[in-house]
Amino acid sequence: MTKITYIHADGTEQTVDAEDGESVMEAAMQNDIEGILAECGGACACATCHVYVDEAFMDKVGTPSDMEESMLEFNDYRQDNSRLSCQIKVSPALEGLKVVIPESQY
Amino acid sequence: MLDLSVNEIVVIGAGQAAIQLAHSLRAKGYEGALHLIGAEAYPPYQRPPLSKAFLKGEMEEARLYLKPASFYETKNVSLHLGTEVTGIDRDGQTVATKDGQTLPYDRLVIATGTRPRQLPELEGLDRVQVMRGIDDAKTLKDKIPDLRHVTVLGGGYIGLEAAAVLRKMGIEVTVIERMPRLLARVTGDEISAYFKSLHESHGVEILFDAEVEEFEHAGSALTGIRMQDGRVIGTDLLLVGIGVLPNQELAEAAGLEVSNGIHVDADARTNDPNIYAIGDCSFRPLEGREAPLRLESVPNAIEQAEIAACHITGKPRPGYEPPWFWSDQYDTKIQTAGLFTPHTHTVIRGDVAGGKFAVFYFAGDDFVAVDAVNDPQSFMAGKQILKAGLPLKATDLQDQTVSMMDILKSLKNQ
Repeated sequence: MTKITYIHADGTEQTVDAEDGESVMEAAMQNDIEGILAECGGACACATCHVYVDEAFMDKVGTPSDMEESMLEFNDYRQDNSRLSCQIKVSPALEGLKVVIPESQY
Repeated sequence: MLDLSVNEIVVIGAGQAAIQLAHSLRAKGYEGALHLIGAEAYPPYQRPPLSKAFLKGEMEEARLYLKPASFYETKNVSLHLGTEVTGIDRDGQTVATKDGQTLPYDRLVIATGTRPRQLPELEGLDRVQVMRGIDDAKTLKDKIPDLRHVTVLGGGYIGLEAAAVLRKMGIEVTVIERMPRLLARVTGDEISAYFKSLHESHGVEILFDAEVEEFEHAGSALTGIRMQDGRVIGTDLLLVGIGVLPNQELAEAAGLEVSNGIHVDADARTNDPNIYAIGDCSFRPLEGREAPLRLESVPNAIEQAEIAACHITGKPRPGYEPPWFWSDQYDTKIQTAGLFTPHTHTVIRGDVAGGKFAVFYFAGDDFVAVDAVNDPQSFMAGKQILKAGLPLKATDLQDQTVSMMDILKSLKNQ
């Protein structure tokens, strides 16, 4: 189990115990976190599980694949620390990870 | 305005559309009773992985579930699983179940989905499998170690996704397609040709213009398929993927309008103002199209659930969403936005031989759809162009040194 904190656009925080091996998106689904839609269920096909990764964890979450990068490129809310949460795998190295949920996934 | 006289909402179905509706109703402030009645034994789950990651064994069952068990408690959603609805009483505004319950409703939502089309001559035969629910996928998965050869009847997305998984496991696969090309109902010639070569390069045998003469069996076990040209395909399993039929019998019996699906208006409402139909089972209008249609996809289920939830809670109808879809086969991802039919011509961008390209479909001057193969930029740009109704012209796409992002930006600035 790895602790992950989801910070909503209004600043409220929810911390969950995520299972190692699942994605940060799946951990959000399993804990009914609002604002991460994940319409395609993690196929990197829809870009509706967008999050901003806390700067302190940017190295630890790795870099997006070309596919993910291309999906993010077209997101109006894109920032330097944007990621699709379905593409980040939970592992003990991510203990304490914080991600901010954008105000909209569209 | 939230209609305070609505205190009982019953949803027939517990799939993607049903759970999205439950989620959206609560998110929009509906606090009354909310019942989801599902025929299957499983809580609402994702179907797309069944023919992909789940079949491969890369995704366990619990990860298919769309909501955690706690959702149903905290959001006060009554989940009736393994429960068959036997009838809708529109005058009394109740729903009856096989186990003897009668549930009253102020608003009823039908989200019964579809079922695989099956050939009458295959009924009752062993070694014949469809792919729709968790149980189907589990049955197929359990049989995999004993399979040397699988025949896929129908070259549609479900059959081809399963073919890709099985082929990767070293199982021989033959696809029987009646049409002269794969995916004929859902995409154009260029994409069909690409998937033909993709599957053939992985060793799948595909028979086109192929008609079955007879399914051969020993006792109740299918042993082979005799084709009209005389060839007999010996096989261990027949996977039938020849389309789906809307589960509309309850609606029909209750006197609601049905044809290819349950007829609804732009607010997902049937001809009974208290009854809605959403997702795969609904026959719906779509902005920009003259005739209504039935869409079979997760995004359609989500969109219509949101539309119905808005209407029930008195919120404005959400903006237009173009239909979209995706499929994964081997290392190829195809993403589609819009509807390719009818179209008059296409523009291809990218590297077809290299497996990274997109087909843009035009009906006269109007851009109507994009199929993007390993090309998310074209998908995302195309989807945004369709959503905003931007006037993309075929000539805008000709210069391939101009990126889709730049094309999108210049359209937005026009």
